[in-house]
Amino acid sequence: MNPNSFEHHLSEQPWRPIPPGWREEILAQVTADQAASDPDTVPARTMPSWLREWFWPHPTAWAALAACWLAILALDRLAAPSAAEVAHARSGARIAEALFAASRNPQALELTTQPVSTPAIDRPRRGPTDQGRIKHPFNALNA
Amino acid sequence: MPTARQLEECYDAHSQALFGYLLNLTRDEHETRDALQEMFLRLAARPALLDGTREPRRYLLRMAHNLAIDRMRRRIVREQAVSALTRETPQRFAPSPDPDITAFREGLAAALDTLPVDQRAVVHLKLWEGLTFEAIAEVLEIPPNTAASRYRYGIDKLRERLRHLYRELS
Repeated sequence: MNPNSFEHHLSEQPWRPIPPGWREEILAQVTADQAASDPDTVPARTMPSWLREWFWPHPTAWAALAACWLAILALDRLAAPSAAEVAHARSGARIAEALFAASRNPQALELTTQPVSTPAIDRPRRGPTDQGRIKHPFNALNA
Repeated sequence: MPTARQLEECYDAHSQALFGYLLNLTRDEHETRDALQEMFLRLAARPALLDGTREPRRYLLRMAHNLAIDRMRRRIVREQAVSALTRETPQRFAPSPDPDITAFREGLAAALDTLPVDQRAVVHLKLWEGLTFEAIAEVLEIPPNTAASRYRYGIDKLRERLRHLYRELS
């Protein structure tokens, strides 16, 4: 078997002709697609070409994903606390922080719980005051 | 955007070659039609695709190759889920009134089926598109040496399988 003649013989075998109806179908589909994506009718065509190519395979899916994100953002904004609630929460947080810090420092706690020993002060002892002996300026005048 | 006339000219100039190549790769007429349809939709959507290409046929063959490979991968996954047994391979070569020639062409189609797709692609581009190994390398984005070795492996297998049929003809 001559290799060259064998290959030549193979190359002479004609492929089946393309079905004649395909020409009309395919070109009609292309025309329809062109009309559907006409820049006057589809706003997406105004996007930059790189963006359009990026979104091209499934533009509806991308749009749905974007809508989901917008809905999540809107819900997040609606659920956000007011300024008063935030201030209240902050003050509570400060108290909690202080308690937490104190709990981590037991010595400080002990110091606060021990009785305070105050040095004794020598004071002159007095006897019970006799209310009758109180000198009153008017008494002196009367005497 | 290319005009309808330009697309028609492109179709008339290249569709037969693309049909044969796609049919040889996919071995499925529906896949071939869908791939061809997708190619022309892309050409219509992106008019710059063929701008500056010295060899539009080569560019289109590369596009066809990539589309066919993508579709075959998807089909393999699909058929693993269903069943590949029911699928019939379509007629690929032109019918002939001579029964010997018809038998040879059927044998050739069956022999082509046994080749791995990378060898089948190179053999097709070499035999039926008449491309050089450099051009095949450009179309398939592989080194020319790889294209040559794939061709030799493929043609040896075809020669082995078609030996008897070829002797009867010659």
